[in-house]
Amino acid sequence: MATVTAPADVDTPSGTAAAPAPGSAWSDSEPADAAAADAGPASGGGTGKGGGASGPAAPVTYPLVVEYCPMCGLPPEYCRFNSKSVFAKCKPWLKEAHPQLVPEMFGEGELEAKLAAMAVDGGAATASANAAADAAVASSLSGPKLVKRAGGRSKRVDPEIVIHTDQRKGRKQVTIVVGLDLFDIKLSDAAKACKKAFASGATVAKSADNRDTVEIQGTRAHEFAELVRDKYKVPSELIFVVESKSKKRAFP
Amino acid sequence: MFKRFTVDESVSGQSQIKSSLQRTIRAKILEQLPAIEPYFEDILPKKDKMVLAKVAGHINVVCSPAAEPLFFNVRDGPYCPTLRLLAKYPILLPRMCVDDGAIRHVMQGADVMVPGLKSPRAAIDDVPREAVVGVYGPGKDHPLAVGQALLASSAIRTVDKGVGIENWHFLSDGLWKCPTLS
Repeated sequence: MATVTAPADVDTPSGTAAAPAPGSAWSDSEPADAAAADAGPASGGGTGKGGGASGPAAPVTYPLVVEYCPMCGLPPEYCRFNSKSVFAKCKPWLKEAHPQLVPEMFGEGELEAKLAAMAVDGGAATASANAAADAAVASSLSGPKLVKRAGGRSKRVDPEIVIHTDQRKGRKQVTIVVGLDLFDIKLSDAAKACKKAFASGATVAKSADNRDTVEIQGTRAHEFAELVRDKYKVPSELIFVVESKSKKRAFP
Repeated sequence: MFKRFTVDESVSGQSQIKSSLQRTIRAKILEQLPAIEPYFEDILPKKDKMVLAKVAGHINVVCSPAAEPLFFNVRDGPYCPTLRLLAKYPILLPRMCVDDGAIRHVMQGADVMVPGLKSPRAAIDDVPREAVVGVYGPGKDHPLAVGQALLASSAIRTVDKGVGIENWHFLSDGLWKCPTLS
């Protein structure tokens, strides 16, 4: 197993303070200027070994604690390989959590501008950065959301819940609910809740335009509107009921 | 392999597997990734029932009882840890470090080409042909992709072009985006 760098270091506790840590042993094979261009080993210590444990002779125990960026879900080391718009959203968090990753990441001019801003109003800069991040989270609920359409295309749709009724075989009525997925409600859970609340059948079904819907047996439009409002705390102004072909607010 | 993977569309079935099959899978993984031995019990306790998910393209994904994907293989091929698992236990696979310029492309699903493994910033462990390897960025602790070396390390050092490592599973692909298959 001499091929694996990390355990070779770990398995030899005789490697004293002079012995390089796993991370730096790796970078030894790189040219010297590599370390300057990329804060790799230092940043790596932050992620892999739970915060600066990459010092010499630090015993490595597995599993390592792995940290992921709350914005893009990638390890912070790889945030900057996102598209620019995504990476811009990661930056405020990165700056807080991994400042050692930041200097290499910010463009030179941008960095200086930020530093100047910090010097002027101290912590206010980070506070505003936090506010920006919060705003991004809030907008994910209120702004349009991406919805997959037939043929693999996606389209932006405003989050709203639309309830309409339809007829199945004969005179059997069903209530169809579109848009629950936009509020991060698990459709199977919602269907189960309907079964319980209305004592009728309810399933998750795909509509003709490839959106996930919940189909409830019987006409339950208004009852269901109350259910989503109370159980899932969906704002009542975003719930609509279609009656005789016109879409109306469920709670006028 | 998992670029367009989604749980709804790609997984054709998940089931708890019988213990005899479980034993063979365990033995195979252990034979193939000897470094896993001290940690196997932590990763997949013997008492727990493992879940096997069948995925389009003859891929099997071995999952924990909580449906967290741990290993996958194609047909009867070698088992390969998922990136999330490899990040926790980086000793499982040999380390292949690629040039910075390759990272972006590997994260889009591209295979690792030989020049990306030969640049001064790159560094590769000695592996035989068809070994399962982890792909890393220079100086990075977290794996970027896992794949199969199509050439032995010695061959990579002598060749100038072509595919060096076939990309099986990379950061931000479909499987990566599913911490659990449920």
